[in-house]
Amino acid sequence: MIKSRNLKKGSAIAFCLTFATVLLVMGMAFARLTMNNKKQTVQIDERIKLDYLAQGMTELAILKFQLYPADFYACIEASSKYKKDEYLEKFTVRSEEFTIRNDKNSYSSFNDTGINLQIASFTIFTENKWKDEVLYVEATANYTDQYGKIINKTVKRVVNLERKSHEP
Amino acid sequence: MININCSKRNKKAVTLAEILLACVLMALAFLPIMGLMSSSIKITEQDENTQRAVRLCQEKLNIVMQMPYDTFGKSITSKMTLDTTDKKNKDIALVLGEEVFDGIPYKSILTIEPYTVIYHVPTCDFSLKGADTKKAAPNPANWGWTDLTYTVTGKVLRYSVTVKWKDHGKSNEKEYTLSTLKADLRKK
Repeated sequence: MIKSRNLKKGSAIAFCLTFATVLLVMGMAFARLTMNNKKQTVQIDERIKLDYLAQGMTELAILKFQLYPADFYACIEASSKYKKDEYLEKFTVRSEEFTIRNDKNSYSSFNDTGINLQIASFTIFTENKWKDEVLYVEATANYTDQYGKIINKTVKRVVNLERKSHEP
Repeated sequence: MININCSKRNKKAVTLAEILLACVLMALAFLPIMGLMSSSIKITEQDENTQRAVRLCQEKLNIVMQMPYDTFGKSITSKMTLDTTDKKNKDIALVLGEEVFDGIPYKSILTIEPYTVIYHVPTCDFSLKGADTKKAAPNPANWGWTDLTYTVTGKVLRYSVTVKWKDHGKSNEKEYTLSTLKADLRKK
């Protein structure tokens, strides 16, 4: 009788400790979940910045085409007809103005990391050489968030072109 | 009989002490969990405020981007900051300055600044190119390429929209800025 009583002694504490441990584990899981949600929210907010900056880069590319179309078409000809890509690359993806490092114009009080911008593709898609042409521009933006994760965003833009040949 | 009663009473007394101890331990276990929940609610509220600021920024920048290039002046040569709605020009659906949502005032500011771009253009000699392409095996390396640079001003503007706000019960001001470039792509 005494033995059985002794066995029962402290059983509530054991139950309580087990229950408290379960609660703590649940609490920790909840905290982790909240932190992950927070990270995702920040990533969504920051991706919007990348989107606008990449769009801005596409504007620069289209303006370059608008200002120097003859040079661009010469580069395109050298690349597509004669397989010499270096001139087109110099005009487009390797051109200095199409790479911006550590841009800090978009920022927030919770993250002011610089953003890198780059024109990734800038070419012409042609269906019929002299009629249906589109200018295709692709810009990428990336930055490293406060948790050390690299966030990327790509913006693609297609502009319809009217290229007319004139009688000599 | 008396003995049996005593033993029952003893058992009850022990259980009560255990329950009290258990309650204390439970309360201790609950305290950090309650703290976590309360801080989680605060974080969620702050996130909601941040997201509203982001939405406001997007909304305003989208409006600005749809406006004609010269909406804010024919030639902008220096940084311009607008923090109040242009009440004279009712066509502009752009609200700047203070707006209150859920008791929190958000202040929107638009900054416009000229952006100078230096274009690097590989240019060929078109007379050399013309002569070369008539040959049986043209080679673009013979087209007389030179790398030219052009400084272009007055053709690109940088638009930045900043939204500032303070979370409930906080003294420090938060801000969120979206920025983009707009080029003058109008056909002349």
